Amino acid sequence: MALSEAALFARARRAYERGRLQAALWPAALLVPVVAWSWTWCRYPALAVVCGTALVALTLVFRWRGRVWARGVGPGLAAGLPPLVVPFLMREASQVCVGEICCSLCLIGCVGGGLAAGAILGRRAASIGEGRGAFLAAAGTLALLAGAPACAFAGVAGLAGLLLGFAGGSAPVLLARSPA
Amino acid sequence: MDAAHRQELQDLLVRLADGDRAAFPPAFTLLWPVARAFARSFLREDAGAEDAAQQALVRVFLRAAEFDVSRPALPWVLGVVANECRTLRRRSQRRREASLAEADARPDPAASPEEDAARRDLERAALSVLEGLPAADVEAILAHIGEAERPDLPPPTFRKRVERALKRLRQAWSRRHGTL
Repeated sequence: MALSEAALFARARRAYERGRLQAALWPAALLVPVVAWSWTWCRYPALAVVCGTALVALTLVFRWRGRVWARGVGPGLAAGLPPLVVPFLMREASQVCVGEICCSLCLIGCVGGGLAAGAILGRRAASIGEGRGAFLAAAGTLALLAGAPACAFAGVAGLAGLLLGFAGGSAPVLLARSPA
Repeated sequence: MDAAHRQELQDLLVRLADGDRAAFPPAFTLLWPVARAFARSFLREDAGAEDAAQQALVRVFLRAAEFDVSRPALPWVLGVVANECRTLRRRSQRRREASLAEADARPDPAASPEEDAARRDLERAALSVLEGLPAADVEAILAHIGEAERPDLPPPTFRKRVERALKRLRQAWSRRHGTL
């Protein structure tokens, strides 16, 4: 039966939102095996579950929301690889000492991974004209959530190192490229 | 649709694919008359065309997130509308055939001897046309009207075979008896 134009408008609008949600489901679903894999080795399985759930949910929401939020998903997940992989590979390594100060290699991996993620996203954000903050917020959150389970090997210090590394990696690039 | 409107449609669908909700109302306003006019010229009947255009418009917005921005928007939209028109036409044709088969299957206790004789004549005429068809077509038609066991085929294959058989039956009937 034919609908009135107002009813058709509302139905088309609902269809548009449903279509966006369906299109967002696939990329989010692809992350589920990665989250399950990180749960199998994470030092704190509950942290892996919380971070993984947030990662999948935010990927879905950002892709559904669209615009600069959706454009942050790919780079954010790509930037999350260094802080996920480097500390994971260094988790069994021993400590490195400079003089009397010793530090675990895993912690250094967290800071390094965070720095790499920050630099990647900072460079990318600096090339964006409008919505730089939203891009960095979306992509940065995803990168940090991806890296957190691996940095948990170094405990709270690892998570703090990841955060500091990210801030240290993104800030200079952003500051250098920001318009005067 | 002139070049300016085509370009406007292209821009609006690109924005919708990106998740820009502000592009929805102008896209709806631009697309609704286009979809309705195309469905009318395709189906040549107003009521069915209105339904098809509405379904098609909802489908266009459902798939807007998947729109390939490198492709022209108007052919994509018209392709969706044409597809919906074809589906509607097939559905109404199937309904017509089903109601005819149902009417044939129902014995009429109030029929007079003349009506019974006419019915028998019609059955004979139909059987003589059926005899001229390939065995696979006869088998498909008889299974379709519930007079024979359905062949062991997947439903889409069986549906296609019935469609082809009915088309050949109509042609054979027209050749032999002139009208359908």
